[in-house]
Amino acid sequence: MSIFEYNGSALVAMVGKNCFAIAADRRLGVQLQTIATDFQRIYKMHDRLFIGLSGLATDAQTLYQRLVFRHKLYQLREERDMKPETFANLVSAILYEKRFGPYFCQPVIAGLSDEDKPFICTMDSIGAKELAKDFVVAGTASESLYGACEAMYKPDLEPEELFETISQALLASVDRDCLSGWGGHVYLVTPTEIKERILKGRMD
Amino acid sequence: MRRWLVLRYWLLPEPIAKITEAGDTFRKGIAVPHNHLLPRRSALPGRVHHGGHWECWKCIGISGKDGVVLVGERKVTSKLLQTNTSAEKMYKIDDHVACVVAGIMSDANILINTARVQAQRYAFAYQGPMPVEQLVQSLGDTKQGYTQFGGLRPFGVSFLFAGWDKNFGFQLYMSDPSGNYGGWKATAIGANNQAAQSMLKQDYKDNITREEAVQLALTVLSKTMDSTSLRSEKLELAEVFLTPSGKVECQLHSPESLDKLLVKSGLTQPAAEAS
Amino acid sequence: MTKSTIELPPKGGFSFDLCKRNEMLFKKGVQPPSFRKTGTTIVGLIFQEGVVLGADTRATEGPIVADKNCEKIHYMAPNIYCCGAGTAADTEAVTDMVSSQLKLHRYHTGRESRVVTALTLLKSHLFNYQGYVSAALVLGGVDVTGPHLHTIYPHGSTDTLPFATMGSGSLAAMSVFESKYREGLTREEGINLVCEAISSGIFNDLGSGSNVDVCVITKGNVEYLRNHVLPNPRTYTSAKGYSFPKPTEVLMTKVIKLKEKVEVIEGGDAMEE
Repeated sequence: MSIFEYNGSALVAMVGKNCFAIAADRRLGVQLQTIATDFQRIYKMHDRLFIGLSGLATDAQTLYQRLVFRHKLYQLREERDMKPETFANLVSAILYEKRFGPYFCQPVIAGLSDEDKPFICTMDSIGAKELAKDFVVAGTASESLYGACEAMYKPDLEPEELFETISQALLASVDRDCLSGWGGHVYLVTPTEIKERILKGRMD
Repeated sequence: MRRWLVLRYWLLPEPIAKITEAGDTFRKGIAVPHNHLLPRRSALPGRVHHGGHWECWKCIGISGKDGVVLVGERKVTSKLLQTNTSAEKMYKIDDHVACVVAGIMSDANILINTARVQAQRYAFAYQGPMPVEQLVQSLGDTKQGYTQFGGLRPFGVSFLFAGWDKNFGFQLYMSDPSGNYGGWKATAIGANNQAAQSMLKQDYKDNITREEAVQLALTVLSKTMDSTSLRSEKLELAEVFLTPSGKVECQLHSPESLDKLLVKSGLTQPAAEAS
Repeated sequence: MTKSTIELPPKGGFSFDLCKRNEMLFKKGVQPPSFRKTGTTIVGLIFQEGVVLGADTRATEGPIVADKNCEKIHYMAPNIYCCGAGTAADTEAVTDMVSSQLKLHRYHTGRESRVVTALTLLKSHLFNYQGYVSAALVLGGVDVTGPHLHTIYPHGSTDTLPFATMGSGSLAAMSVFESKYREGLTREEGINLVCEAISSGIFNDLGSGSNVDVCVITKGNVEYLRNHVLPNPRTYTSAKGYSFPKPTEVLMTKVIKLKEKVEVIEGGDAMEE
């Protein structure tokens, strides 16, 4: 077993027209046993910046707390919010610092820049950035997510279309993964509002 | 010990030597009025107009039942000096604590940084906001260290902290260069603070509201200032209060809203009439 | 809570905090994680006036293509670029670090960076880590002493060559160079030969794929040709996109309205975050 498969997870982020969506499943398991069905994998750094952390849940939470620490200090010192690109570099640096004893976490970062340009990015557990223009995926369901997104994604989707696409891609993918599922959690972010939705999914 | 002190007198410019002296006095347990702790304008001939770093501001803090108010006097030292449009000496330490600084700004920057880091370390360890007194105390500990161990001079900074926590509600603290701190209902630091203190003593009432506190702070400031008219570019005002949703918020007033406040409080004429 | 977890600002260097725990986990039978590799074809050659570097754009994680169009030619200095193969995080980090050292060195000396300086900094870092920082590099540039091309292996050994290949597709690319490289190639011939070598990697090595990136460095000039050749365009995509007959079942929706960017609350601005 790989340590990334201990808790199970599915994460995906997509870019639309002046908006983005980030979605995750809601299951927390210990191998094949389900522990919780309302687990939070996506965290809000500020109103226009989200990070999802897949992989080992204990590491994800510790990593998140460290990121909050660094992000909060940045906000206080600079008196502004962090740009998504800057935040991605920060996460990458924190992960690479532990190159030889990594956090077992694969992050997905999604945000809107000051000019309302969406930004998405994922990394491996030691901070190798992958900047994509369309979608990024992570977690135990990543292989099926790649497939679903490749088929369903189309550029410049309007917010509600984007929501439907990311939701369908997520639910279709977690149905082919034992370790993730139990519905989904989607954040749809436009320049004017954040829509948070809980999706109904299979409960097996 | 004595020799060490003399050496300091030799090596340091006068205002800092004064602070060292004050720190030393504190060690012996003698109370010193606060204005002695800070560089006085008279002690700095020719340097008064040298930016804000040596300036001794007056700051007033008043805590009310539904919020805490901090007011700082802002001195326009030179037309050429590029001033920050928002805050020069009001700082947010965390979401629930703000402070105002009187003294040497370069020293203050160091302390504000440590306070922010300290607050975030607490939040990291306990996943909640740091109690206000603990934060003020931790900063006092840092300051104290520099009054006790040889070779370094103390931080020449006094602070007023305004904050809120769930155990003690709204709080106002004053901390001086020796590391001493205390909780206050209303207090003042910086130049001419004694006049302000005594005015506050007279006019402060318990269970004052935030609005009344703002009014009182502005009145005291205007009466203890050198110039006669109080204008928005001459002061900074911050409030700590709870929003209707129960979230604590630090709010810094913009020049426009300050103008409105001043007109409302009758301390200045509306712009149209003034001109 | 260890002190280093929250030390600020970070002092740089690696942290070995979690090594013991992770080793314990591996001993218990969990597999060590796989990292993103750039199972790669990277090449470089010297032509008449300078150096041409080339790379494919596929990043892999095991058998999965993680990135279809990544950048493998990294900036080192205005006159020096470097292609990276191996663990993606390592190639990125090592080139970034050395490029910042080179910049400091330029400020210090007031002279253009030399390729050998970059080479020495890279190889001494890699040698120090005994091959655990797995970056295989092709370094090229033009400095005051002329055009230079080097390869650097993860353990810190280096070669100085007129034409070089690295990565999983190096054999495919080298076969092209060995049969067609000659001294005194023109700029056009150089670029074409590099493209041919990378293409050979893309089509014959499964670790390499997608597009061809090229970087041409001559005296006083750099031309970075991102996606110079696109031999593998996406086909069979429906222009209409995908339609879903039945919408997703939503259990709960929460809407948070975002404030205007310039925000004026009654009574003043919120103290800046």
